[in-house]
Amino acid sequence: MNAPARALVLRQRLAAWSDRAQRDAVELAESYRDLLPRQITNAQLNGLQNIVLSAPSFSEIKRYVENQGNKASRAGRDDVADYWKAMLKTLNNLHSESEQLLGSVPGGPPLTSAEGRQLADEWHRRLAREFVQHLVAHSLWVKPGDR
Amino acid sequence: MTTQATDDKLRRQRQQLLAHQRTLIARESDSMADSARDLAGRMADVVKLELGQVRNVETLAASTDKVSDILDLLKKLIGRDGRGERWAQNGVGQMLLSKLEGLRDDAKKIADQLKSYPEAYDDDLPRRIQLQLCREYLRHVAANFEYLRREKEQSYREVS
Repeated sequence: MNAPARALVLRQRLAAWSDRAQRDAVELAESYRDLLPRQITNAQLNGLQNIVLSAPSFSEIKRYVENQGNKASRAGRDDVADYWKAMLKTLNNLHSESEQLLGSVPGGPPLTSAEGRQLADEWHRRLAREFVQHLVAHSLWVKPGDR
Repeated sequence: MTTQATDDKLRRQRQQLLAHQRTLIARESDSMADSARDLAGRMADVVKLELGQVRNVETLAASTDKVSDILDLLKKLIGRDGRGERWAQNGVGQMLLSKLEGLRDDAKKIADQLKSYPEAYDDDLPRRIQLQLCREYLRHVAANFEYLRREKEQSYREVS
């Protein structure tokens, strides 16, 4: 498969993945709905979205989420710390999904090569971006008690 | 069967599926027109909801390849309308959101009818059909909103 054809197929697979992932993002947001919007503020959510949009590597996203969790722990907010832990676990798990997605379309570099690892990190960020977009949109939409 | 013959058969089935899909979507689109007009009427009553905001949703739907992008945008618009002056007023944004989510079932029904082209059918087809139905519905809503809003503005001018 040539490069443009591969890029097109990957784009279609990403779209299908993202639409499926929306359910998981909604589930995560719903399971912490009581924390919205006071303990988990819109500013924090927008901050997360900005980070996933601009981070040059996944490790930067990881650092932001860990930092939010640590801040909550220091403030004695275990429920909020749990939220960020769950977020980190979910975002970390997207790594294997990004590799699966890339591996499902022939013609790319081996994922064990330096180029392949870089590509996997880039796709890890793409999946994180999609997931966080769904999560933030749903979190802004839900208000405790009225829906 | 030679590779050439297999490719020709697949190409033919794809063309047939696409033609059938277009017909089914056109039929569904016509059947959604009344519901879209009703919703556009409610939206036109929301004074601060502007045509540009409705067109933005329509434009995004036309350019994205994800249903979730449209739903996310609506959720954000509703969520950010804390004063309930636009998308959150009278539940208009929520009605639109629910309608678009519900199109998943209609898309599945259409996709089921296309299973008679097994070689051209793929598991992602229901999702892509839902996206097309969302585009159709939003097109109806935006067109009716524009018409009804202008009508209201005109009658307001005539009274004053």
